[in-house]
Amino acid sequence: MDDFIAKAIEKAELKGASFAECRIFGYETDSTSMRNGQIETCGRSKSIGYGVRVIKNGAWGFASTAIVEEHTIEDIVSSAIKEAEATSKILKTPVELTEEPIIKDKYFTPFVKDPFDVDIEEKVEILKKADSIIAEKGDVIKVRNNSMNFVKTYFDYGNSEGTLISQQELFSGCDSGATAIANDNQRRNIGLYEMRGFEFIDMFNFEKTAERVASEAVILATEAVAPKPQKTAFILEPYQLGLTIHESCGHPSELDRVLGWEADFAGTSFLTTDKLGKNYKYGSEKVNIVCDPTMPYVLGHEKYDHEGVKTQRFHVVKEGIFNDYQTDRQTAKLIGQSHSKGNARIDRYNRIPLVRMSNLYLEADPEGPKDIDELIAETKEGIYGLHWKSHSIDDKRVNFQFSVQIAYEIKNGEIARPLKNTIYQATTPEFWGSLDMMTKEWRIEGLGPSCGKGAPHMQIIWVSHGGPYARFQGVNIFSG
Amino acid sequence: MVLEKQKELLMELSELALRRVKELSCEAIINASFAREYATRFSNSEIMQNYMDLRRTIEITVVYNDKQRAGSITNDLTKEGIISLTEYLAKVAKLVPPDPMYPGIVKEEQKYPSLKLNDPKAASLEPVDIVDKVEEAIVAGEAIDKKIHGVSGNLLLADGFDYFISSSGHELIYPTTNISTTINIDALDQGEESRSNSTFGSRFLSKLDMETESKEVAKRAVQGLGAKSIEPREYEVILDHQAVGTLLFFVGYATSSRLVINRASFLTDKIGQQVFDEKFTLMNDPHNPEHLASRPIDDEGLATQRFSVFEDGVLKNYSYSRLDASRMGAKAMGTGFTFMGNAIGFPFAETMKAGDIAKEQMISDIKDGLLITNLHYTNFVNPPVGSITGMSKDGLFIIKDGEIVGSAKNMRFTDEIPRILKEIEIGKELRQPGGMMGGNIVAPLKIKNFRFTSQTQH
Repeated sequence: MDDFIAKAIEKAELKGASFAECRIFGYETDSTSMRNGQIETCGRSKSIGYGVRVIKNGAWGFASTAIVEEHTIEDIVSSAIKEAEATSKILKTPVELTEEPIIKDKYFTPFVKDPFDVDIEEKVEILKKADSIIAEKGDVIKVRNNSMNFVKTYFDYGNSEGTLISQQELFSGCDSGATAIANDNQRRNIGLYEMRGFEFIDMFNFEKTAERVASEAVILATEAVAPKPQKTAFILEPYQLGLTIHESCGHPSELDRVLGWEADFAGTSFLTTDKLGKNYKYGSEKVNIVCDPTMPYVLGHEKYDHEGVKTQRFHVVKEGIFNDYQTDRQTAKLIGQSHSKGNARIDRYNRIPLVRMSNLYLEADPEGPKDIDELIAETKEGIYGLHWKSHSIDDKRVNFQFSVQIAYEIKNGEIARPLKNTIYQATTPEFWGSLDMMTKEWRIEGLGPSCGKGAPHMQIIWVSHGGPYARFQGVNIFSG
Repeated sequence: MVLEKQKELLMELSELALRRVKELSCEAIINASFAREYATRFSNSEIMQNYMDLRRTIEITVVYNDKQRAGSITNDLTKEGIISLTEYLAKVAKLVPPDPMYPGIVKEEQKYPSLKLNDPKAASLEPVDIVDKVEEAIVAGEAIDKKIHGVSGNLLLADGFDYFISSSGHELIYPTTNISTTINIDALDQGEESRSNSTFGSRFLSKLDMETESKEVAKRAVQGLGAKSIEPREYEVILDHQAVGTLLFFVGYATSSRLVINRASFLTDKIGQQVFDEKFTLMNDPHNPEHLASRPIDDEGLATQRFSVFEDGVLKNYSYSRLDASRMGAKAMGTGFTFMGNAIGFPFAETMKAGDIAKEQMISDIKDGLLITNLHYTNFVNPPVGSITGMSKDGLFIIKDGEIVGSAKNMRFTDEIPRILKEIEIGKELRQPGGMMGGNIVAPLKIKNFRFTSQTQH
């Protein structure tokens, strides 16, 4: 692909581009899902193509096609140039990019077993077994869902500065869920992803997970009660903590949102540029939010972002103080930073890179309780909430309201009873300001390709989050 | 020229796949599409992204023995790629366990309506034509008031064709043009920000009046300055078109057979029951060429149909995929959307029956209430009871004694859809705001009790 990319860049430069990049991108999936013992989805998808992005007359232009053949380069480059020329008609701020090191490298995320080589019979047998475990709970279970999903991405990138990168990713995800109907209609599911091959299926442990979701669905439908409205201590496990980080720390610290570029769709951010470097208090001093796509095996792991910039570990929030934004080359330059943080990502070949999350998590407390049992023992009264049920947050990422699938009331340091339909509502700085205790134990959870951003084409990016079990004080809880 | 060439290629590859499927003793349905897309995004009164893509896909669902299926979607359109994919799908279809309820591919005769869904002039558009439209919106919006800080938004124009063919002899190809746009304008006064928003569309670029819309959006943005904090409680409200469009997406989604069979809909077992106010009538109207979601055929090969979803507040029909219809003992009516062989039903061309009260009259009739222009991040909280939450965004206005007297800071609502639509009045002005699945045609709603549950700071 190196020659192909070089030809596209050369043509763009001949047509007057001051900067050009060519990105060949493939996205392949293999999915099998089962509902109530019947196969619901079984198949594959493939999206492959290339895009050329140029700067001409100070303006961006981009064009793409699914036809990765040399005879299309002339047309695609010409279209990108035409787009840039048209844009420059009403240009106010010429595009400038940070200077970045020139990189020539190839990188492949490690895996043991390629899931695309695994026979369909083996996949179906695993799902059947999980289905039968849920079915053993009896007639109270009305819907049983189990699925596995595998994704390969291919990324070949070059730009007119000399960077040339080839990067491949492989990630795997599983989900097991059950809907029980008795006194109430309740659903419980657990879905996780990691940047691994078919070996992740064993790590997910369908049998154990199916048993757990089925048992908890029955508890929710038969004996759980709705919490009364209250302000109390609230503990989140790493998955739901991760979702809360995603919405209330991840999105507001994306610099394109801060600059208003997402105003027409997802909104803007309360984390305005006047707060950078001004000791803005994001939360309690225990809050350390880290962006780290360099961490192997987690979803969102990558060595290079989609502008060819090497990814890095950095603090978004450090000891409770807002530390830095997630950026790409253009947004970093606009606020006077010398380098991009390496957060530019695309979801398909025909999309323009946006500032995206990858792996963002809360650092654990090395001085805190060992695990969730010790944290509960340290809590006189409160609620422990697990896993995503619903979420909503305002356009500046301040007022949020999330609900969890199952929760437990804590009395005198012990689990007292199960709770259903549990909702927590807060504002971002108030919530993170109330973090008072975390465990030493922590983990990263892959949320899958689930984060939507961008318009007029929304791009769905794969992300991971997590951290320790964390306790927040005085959280507004109610049911619904 | 590009369109014709791609049309020939997609038809040739589809027929090639069908021949191979038959040789392997299977059946298949194929959905193919091609479009040239122009996409532009602007912010702070300048274009941030401007691009063109030649989008093409083939989705193949292979069925064996009428009961076993496998599906795939690809844009790798080489002959070798299609043959290899077809053989893989046939192999998988023969291996997966049979589903006794799956009805196989459509074999009954279908009468596909003839619909004019394209703008012949779209094929000759150039990037500069799109930029000119955007410039009109920026200039018009900025001219409204000195407090206008920036015009943002996006525009997507897709022009191409959709093609369906099956091994049972059904075949249809039809051209489509679809344009959708959003204008979002920011007003700023002494550090205080106010935004307003409009999402709309057309099949004809010449009919897309971004200039006029931008002026209206800019006026609302300025009107929104000086927002006051108000208490969360129940209010009598008017939901303007865009907010109604969002609410009705969730209503329509709850009529999807997929949600119903998964026991995740508040409308489960409610066919024939009075669910909402008797003034509420909602159709699926896929033959109206003005509706941006209109189409003559669904993804499973059924001819689309006009039918009642709600009539006088009574739930009349769910929207089925063929498999769900078979499971539920019902008849699918052309509302199937497939992805990799898995179909869900959705009333994709939602159209409300208009009322007879002007929106201005509705405002005059309210003593103490709110006008909500737009909803943001709306999501089900507890789907089986229809509870939803979301925020007001880009325009929440205070109504006192029949007049708009100012704006309010945004609020969060958490309420149940059956309660929201229990006591309503319906406006007479129909409009098509954009949105998921192509949007819907809706009228403003006056709602007696709308429950706001918390505040935000802007």
